[in-house]
Amino acid sequence: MTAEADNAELFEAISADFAARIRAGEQASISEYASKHPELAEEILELFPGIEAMEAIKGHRLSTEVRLPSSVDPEIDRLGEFAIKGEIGRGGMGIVYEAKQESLGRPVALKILPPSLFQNQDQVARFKREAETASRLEHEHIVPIFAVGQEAGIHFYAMQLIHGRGLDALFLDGSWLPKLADGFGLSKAKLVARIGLQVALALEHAHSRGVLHRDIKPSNLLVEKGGKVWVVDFGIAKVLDDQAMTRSGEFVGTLRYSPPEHFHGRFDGRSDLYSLGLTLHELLTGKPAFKGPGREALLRQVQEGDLDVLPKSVPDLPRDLATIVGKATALDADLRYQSAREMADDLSRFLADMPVLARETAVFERVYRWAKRNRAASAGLTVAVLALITASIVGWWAFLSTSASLERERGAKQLAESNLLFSLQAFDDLFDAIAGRDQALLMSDEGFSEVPVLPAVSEKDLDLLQRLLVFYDGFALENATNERLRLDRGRALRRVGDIHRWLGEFAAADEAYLASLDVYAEAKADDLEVDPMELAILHKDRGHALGDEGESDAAREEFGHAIRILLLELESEAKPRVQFELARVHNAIGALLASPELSLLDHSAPESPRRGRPRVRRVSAEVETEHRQAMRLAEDLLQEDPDNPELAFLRARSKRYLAQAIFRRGDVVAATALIAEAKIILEDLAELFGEVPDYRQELIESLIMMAALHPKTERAQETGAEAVEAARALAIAYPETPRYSELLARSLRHLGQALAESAESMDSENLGPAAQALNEAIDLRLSLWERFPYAEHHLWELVMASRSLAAVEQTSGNLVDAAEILELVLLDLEAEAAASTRIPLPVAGIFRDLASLYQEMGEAELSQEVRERARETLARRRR
Amino acid sequence: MDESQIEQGIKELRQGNDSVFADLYSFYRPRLERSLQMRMDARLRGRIDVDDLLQDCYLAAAKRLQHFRSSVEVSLFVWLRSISMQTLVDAGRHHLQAKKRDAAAEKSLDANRRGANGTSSQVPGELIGQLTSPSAVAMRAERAQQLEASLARLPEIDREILILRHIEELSNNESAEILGIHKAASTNRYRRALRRLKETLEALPDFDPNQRT
Repeated sequence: MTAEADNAELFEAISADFAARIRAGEQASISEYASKHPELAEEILELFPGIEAMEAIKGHRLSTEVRLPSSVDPEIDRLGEFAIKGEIGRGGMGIVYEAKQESLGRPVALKILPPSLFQNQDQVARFKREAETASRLEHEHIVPIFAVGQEAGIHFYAMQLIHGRGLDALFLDGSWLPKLADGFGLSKAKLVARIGLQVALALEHAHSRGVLHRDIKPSNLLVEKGGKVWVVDFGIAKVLDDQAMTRSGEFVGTLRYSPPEHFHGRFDGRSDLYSLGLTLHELLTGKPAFKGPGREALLRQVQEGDLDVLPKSVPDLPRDLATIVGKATALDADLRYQSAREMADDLSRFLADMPVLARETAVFERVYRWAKRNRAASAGLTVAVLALITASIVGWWAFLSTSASLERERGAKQLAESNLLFSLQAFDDLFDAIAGRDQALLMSDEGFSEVPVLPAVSEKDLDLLQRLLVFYDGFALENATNERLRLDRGRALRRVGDIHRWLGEFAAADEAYLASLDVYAEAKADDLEVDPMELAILHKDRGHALGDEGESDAAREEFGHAIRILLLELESEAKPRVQFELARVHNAIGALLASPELSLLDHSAPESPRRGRPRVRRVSAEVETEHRQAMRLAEDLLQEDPDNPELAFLRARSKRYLAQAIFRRGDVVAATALIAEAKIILEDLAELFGEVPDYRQELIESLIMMAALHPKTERAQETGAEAVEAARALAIAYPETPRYSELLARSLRHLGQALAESAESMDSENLGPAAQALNEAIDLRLSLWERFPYAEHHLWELVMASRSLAAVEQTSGNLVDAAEILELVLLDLEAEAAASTRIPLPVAGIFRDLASLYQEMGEAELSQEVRERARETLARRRR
Repeated sequence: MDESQIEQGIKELRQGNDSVFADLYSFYRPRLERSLQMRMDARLRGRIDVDDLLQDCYLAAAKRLQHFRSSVEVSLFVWLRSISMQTLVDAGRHHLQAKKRDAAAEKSLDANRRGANGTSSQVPGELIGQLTSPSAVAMRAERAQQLEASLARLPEIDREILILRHIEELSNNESAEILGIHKAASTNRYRRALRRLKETLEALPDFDPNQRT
């Protein structure tokens, strides 16, 4: 062998070793290699940088992990009262040290964040805020944060020291999961479910307090020897995320576990559940759900959520657990668990060997994912999904009705009928499952009146409802002549009405309710027993449909029917229920009379003398009477049943309506007293039954009302801020319910207005927060309006918030911005041909605002023109 | 399976025992996966599943074991890799045929074919920034771009061996076999390529040979 070849072999050996060390993530120094191999030193120094560069290129292509912050100066051995003992580990966004909190003598884990994150005061403040919010969480599966601090330019927070390891670290040892499972005598699937359950419970707690985790992934889940799981780093990811987004449009946080909607800037409780689902998926399959190669490919996989269907890759996996993970990782957030509670419940059921509630959406999901991957084909998505749903519902229906008509023999016919009833029941359950998500529809007495936000459902639910409609319609039609199914037919027709109402098709709803009433009337004429309560509620619902349609008189008549039926039942055994319904109908009448213009809360309204003021006064008196009756009924009922929360709730709500009516005739003092009483009741309820969103919603309504009652006071700011906080928590906990987003938008508007008013008079520091609140209100409102263009109320709110924002900008001296805001609103109004709305919109007022703005900007001509438009608008309205 | 078992397995395979092939294949599978991923055109990713390719490759290889037995010179891994590359070309062709009218697709088909024949034209242009602390994101992305651009500037013959050695992580022997040259020649080519890469890197404004990127 020649010396040259010898040399070549040695070079190969050394360079292979060097590359292997880089690949293993070790520190490999070129000069060290050079000094160890002097005979090749020159070549090493010349060529190894190229090896490093190549490995770096590959690293860039492959890597998606967040680079660690540079280590803390080793000289530093303490931060504030924390004496640092040693490094425990490095996570995605910080180094964790074991330390001792000397004041308390307790060991803590100290997480030190990279200094690059804190380049200005905003970022520092945001981090502190997030950490402090997270530190208020107390839950057995959430690692408590003890302190947040800054020392010598180093930002850190201290948390409980957990003697456990991150799931990611455990994962490196492929056998840990089976070993741990063996240790507990559990199957691997059950162990994974137990881990998932503990995390879901932690998420439930945090979500109910308005805190999202935003970075659920194996390394943020610590497992103790005993199997207890702790979730760490709540909400911290948001800080990084916001910054990264604004800085360079890049994502930080671990991309791999991000839900697809995150890429569109959306993140809610269901997004955390998605990340949890992916983590469980990884535990079950033994490899990350998405793995690249390269950031671009990974990004695409994550965005497309292109998951292996579980049962395929893990053959012996229990079907129910696969279904749970599948549901949690549905691409479309509407198809996931809607709350952490639901997911925790299903995991518990699985662990207890009970059937889970999640349904296999496998086919549905597969079609969805497939369509998402094949963008060209996604036009066909709706068709495909609809076809599937139609097949499942119409197909079943066709099968049942065919078998019913074919089986002439008596016994078989009965069987066919009982099958029909069974399916009716099944679809009722399905309907309730959808309806249950937006209780506002079925529970409220005043859907259209209080705030005409129509019950809102996701598009998937709409499809489903429409398919259900086919079923109910078919049921009613096919069984028109079947004596035994007469009352069931009436019930089906009522469902048809409910669904139409839900879909915003009020005329069709009215028709169906009417048909249902006919069925019941005929049945009664034939001496069949019809439940009077059912009948009364049917009348009430028809009243709502008519009211929604703008047929106030007819609606009033229906409510009258309901009241008469209920009054006849007052002596029956069901008296409390009758009284309860009666109170609700009274509230409905009051709300109907006040609707729509009287129900809108506007700071300036009571003072401004309006045309038709006497009518307002007369109607107000009637409205008052209705709500007073409702309130009395609730109070009577409470005498018998003082601990019933529903009754207390009814009482509080009646009080608020009454307060609103009294406020309209200008008696602020009486209104304040009433709303204060309502607030006390509701605070108790919200405290005792924090899980009932209706109570929290009502409390927020009373806070908003309180803010509106006392404009220009500090109280308005305080209650406004309180309402915003509570509404935000609700909106986060129930992202599916637009009503809560609406509530948040409204709270924000009131808070913004209160802040703006105080800024005008004294406190110019409030201008910034005011603008912020109003901007958020407008953003939310715009998205609501986009989804529910038929709800005029959104437009009205949009106008109010925009006008306030323009005023804030004007006060701040941003005249051009202010003018632009108003111009945009006018465009919206024109686009909507606002003249046709039932809600009076202050169009002339906006023109006047704009005119004075143009004046201030020195645009006299424009100002004159706009002033002219204001006059025209007023003149048109007088005509 | 350890090295000696692999050697024993390959010997049995050559002697006509087909039953050891599945185990041998699963031993090489991760490396084949890496090569496929690295060679796959960006536009095919997400459309073609590497698992499917590996499956196809397995089936194709299992059918042609006789071919392996008759090619005494070739190592099992290199033989499998060449089949996997053929699978990739076929899949790309099949996938892109549907889009023949699409000029971009045509181009990527060409690029892919060259890439799979042992050249590296596919690789540059895929400039991927590394995620890191926000302040460094832009800097790192820029650095990565510079490195990629330096690589792209090399003659194809240099680029190819660097990609075999570092991106696909093949040994010198394997690289030599794939390129059809003697292993000493392969080492020389490798050294020359590293030297040229360093020259291009030094042309970069802030290149510091001692600083790890």
